[in-house]
Amino acid sequence: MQDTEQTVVGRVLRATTRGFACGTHSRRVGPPHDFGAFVRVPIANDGACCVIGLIYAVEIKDDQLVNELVMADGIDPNVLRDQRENRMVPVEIDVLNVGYGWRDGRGLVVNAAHSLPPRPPMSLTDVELCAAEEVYDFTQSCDFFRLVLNAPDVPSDDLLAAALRYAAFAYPEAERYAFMVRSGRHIARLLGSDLKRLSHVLALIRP
Amino acid sequence: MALEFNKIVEQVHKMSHMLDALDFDLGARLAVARERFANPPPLRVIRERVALVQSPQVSGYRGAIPLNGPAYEPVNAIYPAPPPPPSATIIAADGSQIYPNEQMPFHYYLINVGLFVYHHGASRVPEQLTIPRLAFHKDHVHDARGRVISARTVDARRTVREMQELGRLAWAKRGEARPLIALYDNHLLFGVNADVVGHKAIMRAYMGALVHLHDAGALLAGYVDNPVRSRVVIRLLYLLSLSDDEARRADLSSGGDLEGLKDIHLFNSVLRPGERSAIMVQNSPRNLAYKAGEGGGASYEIAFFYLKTSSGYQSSLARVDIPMWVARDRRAVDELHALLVAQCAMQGRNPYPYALTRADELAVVTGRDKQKLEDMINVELRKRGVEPVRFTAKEWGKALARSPKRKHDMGKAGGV
Repeated sequence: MQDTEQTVVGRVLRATTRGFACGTHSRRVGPPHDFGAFVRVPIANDGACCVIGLIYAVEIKDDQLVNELVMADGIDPNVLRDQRENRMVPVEIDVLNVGYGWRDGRGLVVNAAHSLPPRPPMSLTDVELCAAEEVYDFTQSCDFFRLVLNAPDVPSDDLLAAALRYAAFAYPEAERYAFMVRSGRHIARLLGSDLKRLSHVLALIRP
Repeated sequence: MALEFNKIVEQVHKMSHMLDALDFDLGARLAVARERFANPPPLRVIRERVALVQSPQVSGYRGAIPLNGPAYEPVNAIYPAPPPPPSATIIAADGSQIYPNEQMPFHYYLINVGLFVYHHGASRVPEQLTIPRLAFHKDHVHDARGRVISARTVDARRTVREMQELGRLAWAKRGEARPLIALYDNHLLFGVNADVVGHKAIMRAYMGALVHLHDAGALLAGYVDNPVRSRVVIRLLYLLSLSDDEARRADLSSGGDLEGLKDIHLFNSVLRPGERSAIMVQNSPRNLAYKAGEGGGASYEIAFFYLKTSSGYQSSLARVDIPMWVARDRRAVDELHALLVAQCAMQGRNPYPYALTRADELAVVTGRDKQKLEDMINVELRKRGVEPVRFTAKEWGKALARSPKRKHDMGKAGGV
């Protein structure tokens, strides 16, 4: 989860305290951009305080030339590589804010609050993938579930399930089952009045 | 104030009736042109007629003439696309510019050249390069009287830069797979009027760039998509319909009884996708200067052929200008023909060379780019206590009146 070359997700394009969008080049899209991944980015004018967020959408933009190429019977392999490696095909990643906290001496965000940050990140700030230790620390409490399940315009059920499956890998194997059970119980409390939705989310996170 | 369409509906209907009449007229002339194209006189007669219009007794003929010598191709010859070579290097250049603004306290202009390299037949990522150059020295942005140079001067300098960069790239790539095709997105018979600052030096530089391309062994081609103004072959067909006496008296700068018809009409109707027409040259003083003038030579006379390209969905007609060093080499022409057809089948429905599309994309300077550059320059001006003039009162008034109309939207707030 934490190879230095693979930790940069992109740079902030626009942001609010509820979430932000960051951009990157299509050539760099990889595991750091997985749906449900935990990311962090410093908030505006404060390098120590970071937002913790969940990736909930990855959008690969097109243009008219790409649209034309899609219509072709077959795409020349060199044209394909030119489009993917040379052309500025932008990728936008949407992130939902679920917490914030301060970096420790190692630069990791621990003891984060499960709430919206005081300020959004500034544009062009580097967005990085959270380290396994940060994900482990952040998911010791389930308070951020509420922010995910109540977020508008976000596939919240699938996002929460993807985030929990993602977070499970930050746990030692012996602790994973207990983590998922604990998370499932908390979801049951939050969605107790909506059994259809509850059964859907539980089915998604069943170990 | 938006255009009031209700006031022009009737005018559009009237125009539509006139279009019907025009189309009928063109169809009749096209039938005549096709008949003449299919049955040209013997070569001996064509040569005599061409010799006549090139003699001092007759002037004004700007039509096509067949090539001399072994490269001769019959006027009505049509060639199908040959198979492409197994490997080739295709380079393309295009340019864009920001014109100087007289209102600015500091005068400058920008020329940006985009270059693209496509390795045909090899599994390699294409290469791309842009070369922006900002010109700001007073000797470069002012004429001899201290006035800001014209847009035409910038255009001429851009053309030369495009050809020079194409020449440099061709030279750098001379060790790559052959043939080395150099594509330029315009006609090759470039000329500058005397009102362009430094016009003689510009022409010398342009010819120098052609020599550089020739030395690199590049097969240079100027690609003119949808050449709606060209009528050199129509003029030839008109000339061939005249007797010697009539040719002496006629206005040969027109198409005569085929006036109104363009080469594009003729070749769109006689060429099938992938086919090209015969190679010919245009009879003109400018082409003569290329052939005999300073820095030129017989290898630098500009010839042309028409090519019908296709993507499998749509077809399009192009005029392809080639220098005589390419036109004389049948194998080079075949390779160029085949590779252009292959390039035009690469971008979906749009039958246009992929390399030229990408070179244009690399070269283009958008309005946003221009604004960013202006902002950068304005910061430097302010650092030195010079207040930049962003808008004149007239420009500012237009910008205000034309700005998008704001809606009073009470719905959305926040949200990413």
